[in-house]
Amino acid sequence: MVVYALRRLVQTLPVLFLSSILVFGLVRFIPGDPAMLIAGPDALPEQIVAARARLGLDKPIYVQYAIWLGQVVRGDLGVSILNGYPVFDLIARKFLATLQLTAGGLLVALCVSLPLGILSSVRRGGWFERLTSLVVALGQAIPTFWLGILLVLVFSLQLKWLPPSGQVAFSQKPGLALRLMILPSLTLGFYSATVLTRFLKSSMLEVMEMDYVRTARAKGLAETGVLTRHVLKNALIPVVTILGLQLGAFLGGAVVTESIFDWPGLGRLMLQAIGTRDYPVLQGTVLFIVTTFVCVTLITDLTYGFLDPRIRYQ
Amino acid sequence: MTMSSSETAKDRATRGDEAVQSWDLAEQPTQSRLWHRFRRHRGGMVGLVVVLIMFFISVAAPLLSTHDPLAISKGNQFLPPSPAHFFGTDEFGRDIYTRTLHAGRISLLAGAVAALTAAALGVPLGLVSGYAGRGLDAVIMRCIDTLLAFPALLLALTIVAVLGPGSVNAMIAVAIVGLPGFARLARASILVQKEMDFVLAAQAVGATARRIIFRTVLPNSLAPIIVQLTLAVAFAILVEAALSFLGLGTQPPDASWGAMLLSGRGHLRRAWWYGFFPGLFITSLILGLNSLADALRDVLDPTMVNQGNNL
Repeated sequence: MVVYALRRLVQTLPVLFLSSILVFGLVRFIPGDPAMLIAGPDALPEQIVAARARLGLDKPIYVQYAIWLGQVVRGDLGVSILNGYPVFDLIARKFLATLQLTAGGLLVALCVSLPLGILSSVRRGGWFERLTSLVVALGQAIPTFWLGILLVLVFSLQLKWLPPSGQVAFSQKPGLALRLMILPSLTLGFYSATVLTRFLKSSMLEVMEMDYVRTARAKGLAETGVLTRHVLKNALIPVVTILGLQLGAFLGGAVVTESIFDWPGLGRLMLQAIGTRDYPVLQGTVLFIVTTFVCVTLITDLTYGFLDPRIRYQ
Repeated sequence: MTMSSSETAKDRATRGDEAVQSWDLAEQPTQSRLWHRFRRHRGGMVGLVVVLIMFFISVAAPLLSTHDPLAISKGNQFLPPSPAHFFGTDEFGRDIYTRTLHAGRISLLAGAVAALTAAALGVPLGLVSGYAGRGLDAVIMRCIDTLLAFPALLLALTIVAVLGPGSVNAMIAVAIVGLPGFARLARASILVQKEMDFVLAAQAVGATARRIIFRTVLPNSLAPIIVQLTLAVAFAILVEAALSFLGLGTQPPDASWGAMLLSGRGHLRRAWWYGFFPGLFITSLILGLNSLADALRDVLDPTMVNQGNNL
């Protein structure tokens, strides 16, 4: 397992390195001179030159990259052009909100997919399976932003059960905070719920055909015991991988969901940075999300290798 | 969606790998048999009909329209659906039915162009990478892995942030995001075929690498690529709509489904129809394309025939 973990870690490092080059390079491609932006519209030429030297823009591009990477590794992502706040602090503050939303989405995905996936594989050919198929097909076709709008239309504007947007801290108003989380979590988690349902069902059906399941039934084990102790336990292993990938999807999907529900997370921070051309914030946010995504993928792979030893030897 | 889409590229790539591995070259059926199989696939036929209808109404939008899509009509703001305005009107009194039809042209064009560009770049890249092996393969695949390390929408957003908002830039961004899926699929395909007798025979008679890649291997990889292309069109339409919804895709006054939903979202209390009909069109089209892709996978992959669709 240690060799497998080290091998995966070594495979991840070049991807992280290349990602950092891509993020650095992309932002450098943005038209306009960052020094002019920072110095302001009325800046004198010498002020622009000074800003350029301060930012290190007068150095060769690979030196700029090395300096930037050195700062990033030490947790220094620069400061916002807009308000002068350290980018790392801005990200840390917004990340908690995104993490909260991701947890909500994950909870929805698991609460929907586990019963649907298990029951539709057990009750094959009936109305329940057909209904599940319909939900899965719809879930994979409906855009997140339209689902969010529909949920607001029905549950906020028509039925008036839930507030349409906003976020408050759990420590201040726990009841309202929970109510505000429901619609964004449903919006974010629904697609993943359908993906997980699909994988769990096919994984369950595959395991049900295995000899050891037939043996378990033949020795007289109750059907519930067969399903929980033999089928589900093994069927969930490949689903772990999909779950890890879905966490990455949540980070991407959060941009849209946070925009619909005015949720003050990383996605909205990134959109604001694009709108105001606040490049350090944009660069920092993208790098942070990509690094998180790569780390989640790595942890997922290691978990998969731990749960299924065959993976380690492939 | 879906936008939900960071994993989507990986999912699709994985599905592609499986499709290639299970594609038995010895059992390639004739076109008529394929069509016969496809006709028996109910979901696929429904998907095909939906896609054709959406294609037709988008192409024929000027003929089917009841109003000018850009004409502002004072005094007609936020009219609910009626025989005069099938889908109601927006904040400028414009006919939403007409704008929804015209928006379909942009969405379909963006989806098709972005998906075809992704295929045109990704497939040769994957084929060359897989055929060359060793150093070149490692370099290309690490670059592809790097693109896959970005959640799809995040990468598209970053690219549009660099290039600037607009439908053409959105198409470029979506094409780049879709590229890794095709590259991995093509690479998996050539890795399987590289050791097969017909490729070894071509090498033995002195065929050039280019000829082997594009004349021998590529035709045998078309089945999974066609399935991937169908999924990529759906994916591209969704990402373009998401970018427009975030204000970075198609810009006003041009109509696109995502941009209409963005405007509609701000007026939900007054006009539910504004945020409803464009979304219904996107969902129907994606549902149709996904069903079509599922059917094509079942039909083109002999090992899947008669197993039906798991879900």
